[in-house]
Amino acid sequence: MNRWFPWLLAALALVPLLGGAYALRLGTEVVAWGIAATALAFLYRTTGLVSLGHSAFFGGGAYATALLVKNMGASVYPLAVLLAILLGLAFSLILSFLGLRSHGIFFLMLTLAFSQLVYILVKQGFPGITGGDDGLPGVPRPPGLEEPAVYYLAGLALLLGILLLYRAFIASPLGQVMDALRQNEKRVEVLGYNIRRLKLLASGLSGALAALGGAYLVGYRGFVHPHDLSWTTSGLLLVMAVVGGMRPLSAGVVGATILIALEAFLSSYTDLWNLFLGIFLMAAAWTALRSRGAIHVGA
Amino acid sequence: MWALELRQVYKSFGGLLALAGVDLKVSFGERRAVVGPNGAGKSTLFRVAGGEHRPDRGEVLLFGQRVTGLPPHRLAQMGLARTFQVASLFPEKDVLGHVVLAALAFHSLGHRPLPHRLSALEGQVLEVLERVGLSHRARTPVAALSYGEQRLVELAMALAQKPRLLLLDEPLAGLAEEERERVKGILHTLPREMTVLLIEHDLDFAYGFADRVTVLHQGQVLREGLPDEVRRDPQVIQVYVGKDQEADAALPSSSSPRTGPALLEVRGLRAGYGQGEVLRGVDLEVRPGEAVGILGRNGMGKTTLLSAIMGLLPAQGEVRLEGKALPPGALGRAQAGLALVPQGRQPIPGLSVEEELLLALRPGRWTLEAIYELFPRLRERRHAPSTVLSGGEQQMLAIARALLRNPKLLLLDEPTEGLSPLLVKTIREVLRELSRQGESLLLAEQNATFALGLVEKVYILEKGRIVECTEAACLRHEPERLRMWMG
Repeated sequence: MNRWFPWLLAALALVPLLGGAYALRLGTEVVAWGIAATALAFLYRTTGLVSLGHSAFFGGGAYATALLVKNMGASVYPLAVLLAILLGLAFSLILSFLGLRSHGIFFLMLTLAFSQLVYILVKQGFPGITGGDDGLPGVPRPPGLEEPAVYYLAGLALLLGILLLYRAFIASPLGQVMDALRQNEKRVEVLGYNIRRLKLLASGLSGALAALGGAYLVGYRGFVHPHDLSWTTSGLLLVMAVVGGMRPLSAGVVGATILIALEAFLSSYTDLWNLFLGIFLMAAAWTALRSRGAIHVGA
Repeated sequence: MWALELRQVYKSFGGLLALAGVDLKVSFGERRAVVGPNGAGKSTLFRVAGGEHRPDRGEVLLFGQRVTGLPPHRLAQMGLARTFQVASLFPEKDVLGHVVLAALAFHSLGHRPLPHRLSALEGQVLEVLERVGLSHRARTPVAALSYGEQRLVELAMALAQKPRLLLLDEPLAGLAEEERERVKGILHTLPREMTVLLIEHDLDFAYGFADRVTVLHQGQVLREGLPDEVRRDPQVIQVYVGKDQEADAALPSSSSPRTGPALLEVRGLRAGYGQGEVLRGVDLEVRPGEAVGILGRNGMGKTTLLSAIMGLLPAQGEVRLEGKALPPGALGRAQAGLALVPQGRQPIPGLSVEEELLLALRPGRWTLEAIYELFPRLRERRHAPSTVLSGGEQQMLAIARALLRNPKLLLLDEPTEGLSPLLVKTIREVLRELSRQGESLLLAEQNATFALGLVEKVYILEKGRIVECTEAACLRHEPERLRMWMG
């Protein structure tokens, strides 16, 4: 982790002291999106795969939690979150099982197609269950966490736990293997590692983690909407991970913080905030590419 | 039962028959060398045996078990390890990390998802590094290693896998003399339980090391037998070394010393990667029509020097072509009239030979027709994808590509690396012909014999500095002086 990253986390922990409901809302969004963007960055870090379909797991986790809690009451929250995670894991495993023969842009398109399928099914397939275009309103907060500040801090603790686990994983023998997998897949295979199994593991974990992010989001926001499943949500997650640098452990959280803060800042000045966000992103990509300008040629 | 058995294996790439019915039987504990001219199918044979390529027809048996079509990791689990002809590494990892990864593959800790001390494993890994002579480099990122050292990392990884069958693809290629001796020593002391199959162009080593030798030619086994029998076989000599051995004697006409303004002028060139400075102030000159050699062992900065001249690396110092300072960046320098034949040839995936040539084409003296005249082989293969060419053909393609730029100066980075003696000779003839026709050449080589038969002036590069500049003829007559620098 970057040297300054703990300071970012510390600053996030102080957000409730600002006292405003708005700051707290932004902070909670950072945690929810940060978890999901970390899931996406984790998949890249460990396999080199880039997904444009993580809204299926993020939004899917939110829907699964919302459905269960709405129908059976707030007391089933632990169960609902667990189920959301398991569903994220299972669907991600199935998707990767079918898609892992493909690489790069093809994997990207496959994940996109899958998430669009989920989006359409939820939006138009079963409006009776999923609420169709309106989504599902009126999702209660988990018991004991009704207070926004408490909910936020619990989320921050969860996020910290996830990052510590991520760090431990990358430092572990298995994590080292998967770090190598991203750099040179063929070589890892020749060394005797079953790369297909390793990739399945990474995508399963990534899907589960994105679903957890979705579950956290719905618990705070109180409703889900088909937009959470749309490809723009996947795109935003990807942009967050990329802005954070993809590879560092902090990528997802840093990216989520920057984008959510920028959106809040720009939209308070202008309705055209999307335009300025776009300019910012292009500038960020340009600097990132320039700093990597030197080509490696060998000694 | 055999350690490795191939039965009537066929493999073709886009109409190019690389293996045309190969039978091979290697017994347990045997040392077997596979030799043959470039393009004979040796590397393909390795890829089929290692599970990277599925044969079109035929069977592969490993330790008596049928393994045709099994993925590489299954073969590795059965006890097969291999090294790659061109080092295939993990750019962000250090040397130790590579070998740990290899040792972890069959270790129960390899599946551990939480941090764990690998002290026992690391001890074993450091031992392997000690053996290949890289222990002092354990914490160095591989990107900062010289090419020869990267090849040693390859070998260290294969040894750490503790294989029962070891496939070595040209273990000596690209190594400096000292490294060669070390690798030869390691290979000679491998335990006899380990079966070793190697491809090697250094025939003296191959014949001395192997129990049996298989000669591959045009995708078929031409001859198999004891090294002494094979060495004397007239048919083998013919395909491998070519018919006339006289050509070696003909040295380039020692023209009068060239005068006049320099074509290329390099002053105080400094460059490096990240923190490490590789070039520490290099001065050199090439005059029009001159062939100049840069000699030096591996890791002395030859590739870096050419890359810096070509503008592929940011560098300080002055580079002038015909008196004009060159712009930074490879594009500007290519347009100004420099062309580089890169180390490792670097064909462009997805293009056919002719497409790749057309891509390079710039109007001038060299046309597609003239190139096909110079390399008839490329005409035959013009519709084949450039990536399926053999190493020698790719080298021809790389030279042809650079020539079609109609450059003022041709930079060549180790054009003989990994080529069979016959092809080295072909390449030398081509370069001599170019020199005769008035092309200016700047050649980086560690194969001194090759370079001295070609160039007029020699710079010797040692640790990023020019330590000697002399007529090539002087070095030809004073081999001791050469040996001092080339080890």
